[in-house]
Amino acid sequence: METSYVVKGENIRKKLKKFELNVQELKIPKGFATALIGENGAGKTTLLNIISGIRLDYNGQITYFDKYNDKDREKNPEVKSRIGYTGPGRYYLPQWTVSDIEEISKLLFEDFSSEKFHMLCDELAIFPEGGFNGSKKSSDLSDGTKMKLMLAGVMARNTDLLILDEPASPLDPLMRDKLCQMIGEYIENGNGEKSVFFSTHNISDMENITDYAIIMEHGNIVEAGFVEDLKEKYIHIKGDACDVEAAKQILYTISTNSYGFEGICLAKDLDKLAGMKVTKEIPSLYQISVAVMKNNTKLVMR
Amino acid sequence: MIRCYRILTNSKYRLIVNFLIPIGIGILALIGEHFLGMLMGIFGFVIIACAETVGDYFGFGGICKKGALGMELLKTAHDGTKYLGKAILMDILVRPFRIAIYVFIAGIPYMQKGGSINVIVLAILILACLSVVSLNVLRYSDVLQINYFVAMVFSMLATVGLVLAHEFVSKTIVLLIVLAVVLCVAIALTYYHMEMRIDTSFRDE
Repeated sequence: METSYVVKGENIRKKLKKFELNVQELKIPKGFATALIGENGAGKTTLLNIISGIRLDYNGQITYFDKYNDKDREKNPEVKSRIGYTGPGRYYLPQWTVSDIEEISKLLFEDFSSEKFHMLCDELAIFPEGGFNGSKKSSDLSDGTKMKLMLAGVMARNTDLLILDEPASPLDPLMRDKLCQMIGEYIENGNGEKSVFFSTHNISDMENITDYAIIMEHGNIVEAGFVEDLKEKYIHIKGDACDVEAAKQILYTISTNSYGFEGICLAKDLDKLAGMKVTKEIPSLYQISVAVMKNNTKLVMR
Repeated sequence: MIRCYRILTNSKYRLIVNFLIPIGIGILALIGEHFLGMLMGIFGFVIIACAETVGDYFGFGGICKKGALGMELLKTAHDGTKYLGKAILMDILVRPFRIAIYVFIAGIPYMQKGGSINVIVLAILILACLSVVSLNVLRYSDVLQINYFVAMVFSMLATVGLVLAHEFVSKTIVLLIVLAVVLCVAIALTYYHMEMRIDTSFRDE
């Protein structure tokens, strides 16, 4: 089956004082949940801001829904109405109450449903007393509750693409599970038409709903692909201490201790491990991501 | 424009700056006049100047600051920043009318004692000009203490302006024309400034 893409980008460049985003090719598959993974400062938020239209000073071409470019995004109301975005911190004015946010969302988005918003506020237990408390100020909410409110706001609309910047970070483990459930239902109910693109540091928590992963380092995409394909490309290896030196020459990443070593090996290099006493496992997305980041980081790893 | 102003500004902000403060000042002016006489007129004038300047913090505080709060929701909507521009324009335009009501109420005791209506009109224009001009400074700060300080400076300027207007009341027509032109220019430039800040908030450079 040929994959179609909800967002395609080419040569997306943006220069800041000490950082340069340089994405040669970006593809976000339609009908899937795509995770954007990378170290702090890798350029994830910058890329999400560019795609969602919060930043306009960049070079490159972006195509949305296979028919609109980034100029259409600013001119044609249909493009932004099909995209829902939530971001950390600077989303609401602190003096806005929940009722204000509801009214503003109604003004901004024709498809915003108050009924659904109230239902989601209740479902996500945004107000400890239960129900809906419109007089609550957004600045009085904790970071986690603010994120829940943003999710309720964006899910109360009828969008085709959700762009979520670090949605899991401020959430507790139970709510992260709920977030995965919500993303899963959003994609499932879309019959292959709805997609989610989210950045995360909580790879393990989000792994069960991640279909496609994009890993960024220093403003570049260093790895991208369907999780199932990545799990075939990379193999998790464990071996004895006697083979450490030989394994270091072959493995993609390796960590050692007095008992032996473990690391990630590229599947194409697996033959080179012949003769060594190793065990092979399918790596988790977390292990793959850490391996790819380790191989590209400026951090000093010991 | 009224709908954008109503929705994009906090209901408490609108209630306080448009109703509670004028009513409070009116009551204060009428009662205070019995005890302070004409001094109450100047006192009321200073309070109005302070209230006008500080009050903005609760509506649009800090929106000109780089990376201003609350813009992301607006930017991700097609008409978000357009609506914000309309709300900002409405907020600027409502000021002279609001001030006119404030000052007129506070000036009733002054006029009852034979004070000139010309002074009241000049006071309205001076305050309206300063209220609009102050936005160009205040909206770069989201720290309330800084806004209080700026409010004090603008109150002093307003008071000096009022004393000068009282001195030159014989040239009311000239002053009226000059102040009306200054007010129109201030409204246009302030709105342009705010629009420019909204536009540059999409850019990092």
